[in-house]
Amino acid sequence: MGVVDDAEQPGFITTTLDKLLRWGRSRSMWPVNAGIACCSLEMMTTGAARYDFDRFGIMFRSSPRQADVMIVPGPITKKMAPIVQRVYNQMAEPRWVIAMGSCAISGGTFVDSYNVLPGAETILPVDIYIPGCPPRPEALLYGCLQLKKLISETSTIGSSRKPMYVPPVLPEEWPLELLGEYDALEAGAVWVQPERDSPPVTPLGDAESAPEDEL
Amino acid sequence: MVNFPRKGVEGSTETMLLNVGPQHPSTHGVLHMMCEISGETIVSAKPVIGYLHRGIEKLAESRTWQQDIVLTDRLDYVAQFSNEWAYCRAVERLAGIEVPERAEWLRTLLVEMNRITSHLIWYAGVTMDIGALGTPFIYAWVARERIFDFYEAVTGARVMPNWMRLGGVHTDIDSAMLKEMRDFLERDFPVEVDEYEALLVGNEIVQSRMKGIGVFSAEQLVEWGVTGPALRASGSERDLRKDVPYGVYDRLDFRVCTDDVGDSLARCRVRLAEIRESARMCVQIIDGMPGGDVRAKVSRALKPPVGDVCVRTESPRGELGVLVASDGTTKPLRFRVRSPIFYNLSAMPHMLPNHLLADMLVIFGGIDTSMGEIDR
Amino acid sequence: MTPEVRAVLARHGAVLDESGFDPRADVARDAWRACAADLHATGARFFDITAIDRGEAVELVLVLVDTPSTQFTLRTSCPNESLRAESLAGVFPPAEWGEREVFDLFGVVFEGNPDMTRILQPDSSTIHPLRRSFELEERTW
Ligand code: SF4
Repeated sequence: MGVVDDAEQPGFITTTLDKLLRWGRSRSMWPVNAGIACCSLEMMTTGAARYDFDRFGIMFRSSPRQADVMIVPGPITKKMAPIVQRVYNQMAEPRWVIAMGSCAISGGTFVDSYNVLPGAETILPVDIYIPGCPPRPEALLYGCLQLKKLISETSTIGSSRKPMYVPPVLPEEWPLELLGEYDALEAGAVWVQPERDSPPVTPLGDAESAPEDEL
Repeated sequence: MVNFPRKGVEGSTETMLLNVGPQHPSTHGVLHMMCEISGETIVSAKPVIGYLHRGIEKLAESRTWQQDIVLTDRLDYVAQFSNEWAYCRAVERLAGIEVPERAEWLRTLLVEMNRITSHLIWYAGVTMDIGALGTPFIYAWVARERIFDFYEAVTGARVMPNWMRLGGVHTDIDSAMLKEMRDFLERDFPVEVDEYEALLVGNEIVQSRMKGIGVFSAEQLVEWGVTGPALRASGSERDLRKDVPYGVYDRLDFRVCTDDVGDSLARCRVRLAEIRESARMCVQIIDGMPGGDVRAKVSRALKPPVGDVCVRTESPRGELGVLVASDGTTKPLRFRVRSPIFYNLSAMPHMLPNHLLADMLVIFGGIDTSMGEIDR
Repeated sequence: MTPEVRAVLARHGAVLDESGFDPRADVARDAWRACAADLHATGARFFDITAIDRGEAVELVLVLVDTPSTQFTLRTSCPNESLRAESLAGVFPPAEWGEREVFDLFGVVFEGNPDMTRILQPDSSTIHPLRRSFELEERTW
């Protein structure tokens, strides 16, 4: 019985710290500001004066690096899917996902379309589903409060770091984007350094005849 | 890979490629803008779209004529009533459906209110883009929420009304509600707009950011296919509500709001003037509202005759066209939306070069994008 | 329809039909670009370019506005065996994007368009969804 110990047998300090962390996290959920479709209008409304997200400590962050909640407010199309995945994988751990609206739950109105994924859960681990088309701001608030409850009940101590989420069924149409070597280990793939932007173009006109020493 | 050849700058050694978006707080949806910059100046730009392509045009072909109204709401989700009306007008013209008089007045009323809320969203967006985080956004939402309460009382939904039907509208508005709307639009709303105007056009920082930025002549803009308030800010009088009067616009007394400076600030002034003008029109409509039926009898299994028709309407962002083609069955053969912003955005590669990177968002705010309609 | 527009259409051998809602003019595919260029010279304004799948052919529809209150359509038809047409991007600048969309959704290739790539669907897509031959899958709910 130690003071600091392993995950299987949490001791006094670990559990107290865990409680503190859970308390803090659940009261400062920062969603990433990623408006996708019509539901983002209601998301904005919830952030504005009448409903006022800020009183729950929910503030939109523009950078995924600063955020820990992702609200998916709309249908994820095949072109958008790799980007949503990338934004999610860029967020710091631990992180949560809210599927807002019927589109993010199942594809909604566009369920039979050729370009829409049947729900956000195909590529993201969704924690909270909020039905509606679009859900009313009250519904979004209620969903966020449910998430708050969830966060304050889940312990994150001892869970291994998972910087990359690998969906159960890997989509065929686009490769899973690896952001670094560490992710490749997780995904069981070989990480190839992505090609950087091509070198600058030579200036227009006669590039060869320009004397070297003038540059 | 996106085909984006770099132009390069003569005499300079290096240009840089900058990607703005798709996940970017100021792109109003998921737009990806590729900019080639030399220092701070944009050399060439290319918008990459399609991140919200849901295939609405294909889905419409697998639903009946009546069911498609649901999809039109989701096109431009900031101006839902305009889309519904454009679609209903096209099908009504094709099938020869007469719309009752009162329904036309009601439609015009809600579309004009919709123009107000749409411009308010533009107002919130453009100010956020240039760095006024929060304040104007929250101000704009005050009046918007009041109008959304009316939407909710009339249609039952806040954002996706699905209120118009082929041959009329779904629910009537009773006189008590009309009076409430009139009170708000005549008494409280102009006060709010004064405040908005003072916050935006009267603000010194906004003026220094917008004055003289992105000056285009009307001839240039027409050539590039730009329509709507962005074009009218350059002195053009083009407004389909006057040119091809539909609904009850020919019976209303309104003016086309124009400005002849043609810079970004002029675009703001035109939109603010349109907000005022729309509020005035709404009051006129409520005063002149006739009684009667609101919905003509239209068969559920409507089969318009073979043919196609293209209808042009003035949406808050420009000229919205709907082309419907029928092959005589209960489902459309083709449902095409000519989105105003699609073509406005296609002018961006012409508009942006030689502007500073920071001015990109100002010019971008001037055409007021809404990705749902661009990508469809 | 203004007399100048009529004259241009007659010069290019267009078949004029004014019985529908808007006048429509059908031109041969060879005259498509030349006719559009002449119409541009009369001051007709671009409104939209799109296509309708007629089964054995794809009909290209160019909606033009001649006076502020009137419009007409210029049409040509591309049989399924050769889905190509001349690009109007040099005549009407907004047509560049309109044509890219027609290419993406119908598969009609426009010769001379500076950027004939998919615009709405991802580049990895292999379908042209608005063709009649493409049918939506039934999704299980
Ligand atoms: S659920 Fe409805 S409102 Fe939300 S994104 Fe989908 S269609 Fe739009």
